[in-house]
Amino acid sequence: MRTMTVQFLLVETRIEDLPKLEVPQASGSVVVFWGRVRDHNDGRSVTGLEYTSYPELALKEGTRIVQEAVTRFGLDAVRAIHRVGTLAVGDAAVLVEVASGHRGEGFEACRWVIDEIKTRVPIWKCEHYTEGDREWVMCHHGPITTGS
Amino acid sequence: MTVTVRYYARLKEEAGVAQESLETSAGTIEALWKELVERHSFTLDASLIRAAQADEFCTWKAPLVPGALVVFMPPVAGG
Repeated sequence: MRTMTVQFLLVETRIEDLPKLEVPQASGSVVVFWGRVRDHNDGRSVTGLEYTSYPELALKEGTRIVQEAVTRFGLDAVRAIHRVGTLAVGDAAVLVEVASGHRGEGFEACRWVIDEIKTRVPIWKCEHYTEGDREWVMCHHGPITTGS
Repeated sequence: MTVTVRYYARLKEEAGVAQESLETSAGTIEALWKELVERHSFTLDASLIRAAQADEFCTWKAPLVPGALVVFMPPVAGG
């Protein structure tokens, strides 16, 4: 029996070009979420953006999220990939793939993983606008789950 | 003691450096942050900042470890 994939990755190249998640034979459902760079935010026209991460901690926290997802939802496999560096409009920023026995837990887990990534993983987004200026977008921190 | 402090995103821009080593008499992460606000005039409120020490999240009350790498993080925005 193959070891199941439970993985969080940060990549500097196109997520679209990576091989698909290896899905176990026992899985009847694969739910996939693609997060893309859109051409606007908060009423402003976006030309592209830059993601920067604190890699050591982002990988730790991202891995904790996918591991928690397996326990919480009883998944067969899960992989989440976040892009870092410079991205153009339409590029994939994040991919979440969830393999499970049935679709119910798959949809729920996929939503949970992306929501947790957004609040817990130390990654920052700097948007570039049509007018030539740029801005660091601020979302919200989640609760502290680890540490002293 | 000497500590190394690293900044990301908006904090990095406001500090003008990505990382710096400095002498401090601060005993906690919170006391260190207060010293750094004096030094760099950070505009973000402490309630928006999270800290890490030795590549793990920590609270504001966590004791500062000599020689540690301390990271201050503005609100995250991945996904």
